[in-house]
Amino acid sequence: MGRNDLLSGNVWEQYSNKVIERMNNPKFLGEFSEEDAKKRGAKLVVADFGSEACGDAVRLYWLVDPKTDKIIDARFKSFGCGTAIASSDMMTELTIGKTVDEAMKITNLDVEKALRDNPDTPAFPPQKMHCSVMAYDVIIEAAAKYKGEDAEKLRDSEIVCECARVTRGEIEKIIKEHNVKTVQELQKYTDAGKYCKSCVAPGGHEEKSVYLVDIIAEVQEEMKKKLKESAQSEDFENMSFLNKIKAIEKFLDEKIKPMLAMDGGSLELVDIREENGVTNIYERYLGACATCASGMMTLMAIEDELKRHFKTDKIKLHQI
Amino acid sequence: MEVTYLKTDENGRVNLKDVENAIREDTALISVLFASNESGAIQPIREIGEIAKKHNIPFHSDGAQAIGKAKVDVRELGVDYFTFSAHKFHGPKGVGGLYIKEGAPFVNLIHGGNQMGGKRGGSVYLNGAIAMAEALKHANENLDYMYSEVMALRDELEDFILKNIPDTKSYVDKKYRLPNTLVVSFKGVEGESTLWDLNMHKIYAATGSSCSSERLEGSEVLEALGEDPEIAHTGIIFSLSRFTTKEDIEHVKSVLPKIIKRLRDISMTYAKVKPK
Repeated sequence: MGRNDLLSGNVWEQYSNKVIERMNNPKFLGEFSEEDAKKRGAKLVVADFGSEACGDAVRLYWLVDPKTDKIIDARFKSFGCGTAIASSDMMTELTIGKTVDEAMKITNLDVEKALRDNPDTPAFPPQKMHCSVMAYDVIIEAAAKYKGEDAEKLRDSEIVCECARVTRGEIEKIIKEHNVKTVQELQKYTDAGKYCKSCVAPGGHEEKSVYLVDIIAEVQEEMKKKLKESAQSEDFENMSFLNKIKAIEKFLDEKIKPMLAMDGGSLELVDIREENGVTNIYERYLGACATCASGMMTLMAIEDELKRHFKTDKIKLHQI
Repeated sequence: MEVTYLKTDENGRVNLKDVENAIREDTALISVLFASNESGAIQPIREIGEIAKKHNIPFHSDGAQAIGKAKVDVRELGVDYFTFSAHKFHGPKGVGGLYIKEGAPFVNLIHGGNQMGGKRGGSVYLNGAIAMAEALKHANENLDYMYSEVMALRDELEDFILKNIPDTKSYVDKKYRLPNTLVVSFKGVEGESTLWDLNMHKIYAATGSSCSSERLEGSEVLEALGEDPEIAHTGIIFSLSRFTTKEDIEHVKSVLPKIIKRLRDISMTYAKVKPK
């Protein structure tokens, strides 16, 4: 719980001077018409994102040079709070001079950074981050219009947390790696859900198609299933480590030791280690085997037996 | 514990039939706001009190917004419990009151000591209580002033806005509204941005737009009053007090049209060129 939550400070006090300046005097406010485009030999692109019903909407105007795909000029109009106006103004400025493809790489994080007074202090408080998300989205809409493509295809649809730009893939990886069970644990490793909090669970500021709580539940379910499966699996490579150990011990006891015993020798299982997907078995020869000249050959033969029995190549037998 | 929430109409009021229909075998309490700080809507408290009495259900009303702005006599309202807060009628922050009708059951909020006749652990904040009583006296003495001078100022502002700024609308029929409250929507201009500009001119209003709250959630006042979602984010709440002067209102009148024009120039609602 940050200082912001505790002191319930005025949101406006946390706006940077750059944000305030652009709220009061947006530099790239305006419109372009077909005539403007014609006069400058450019193609007019007009794209909307958001809606007044949501409280945030922006319209982006581009004049694009069709020979170079460069955005020679841009303007915007916006419906929304001051942060939305300032973000849209900065976003519009950042697209000028870039090609359409270059502009598509601009995200809300870039916009927010550009609005900072100094590099360490955010331009606005976390719950206002979502106002800048439109920046990325409207650029995609404009790019799609220019290219004549479907905006959905161009958009990075994997993104679950738009404010922090975290994809589903990244979140799932963290859940698996750290056995994450709650959003609180998840947020030790990612900023997802820390800004506007809409993506955490249903009932937030915006409705989302997938929430963090759902992803955690789904992945945990998947992990449990895998564990159950590996406990019951006959397939060596999918067995749990415990079952692998039991199976190897059983095989050595039932099939290998009796064979060695016929020549007065034996072996002792010392260790089993999994490394890089290979099961490494370490054994020590006992009795006659300890001094036998054919020890090496027998070792290779036992390894072959193991591989054949468990139907896998991923076993290595070591003598120590 | 289950809570049944009742809907409100376009004047922000509950329907008496809905109240009656919501009563169940196990209804333990009916609780209705006396008047809303967000819309100024006044609820039919006396009538609901009668329904509660008929069905023998404890009835609570919160009067935080009502005291000093409407006539409140707890004996006439039929309430078992009535809550209020000093800071809403120009008393100090940090003190409020709970009226409990003789015989109505209640459990301590603050436990521990047996002070205050066992009803509240620890001694009551005496300074606050005295100040609140004084503030209450002044508030009641000035009710007539509220309903005459202050209401006239509110009406003047409301008429000015509706006449001089296009695409505006006010809400809640005056006969159901507190005398000091005005809720207006300005098409195409989001509430928080209006507040920012007003603030620059030392005018402090409020908005129902959830963009301006810490949590970003919460109800949209205008949507609850049946307004379209597109207009819902444009609402501004002006709340006058007995200290509001004619000069204050003149100041708002001189500044507001320019603010709305500036913000509508930024807004795409009034843009000439639209996407194809």
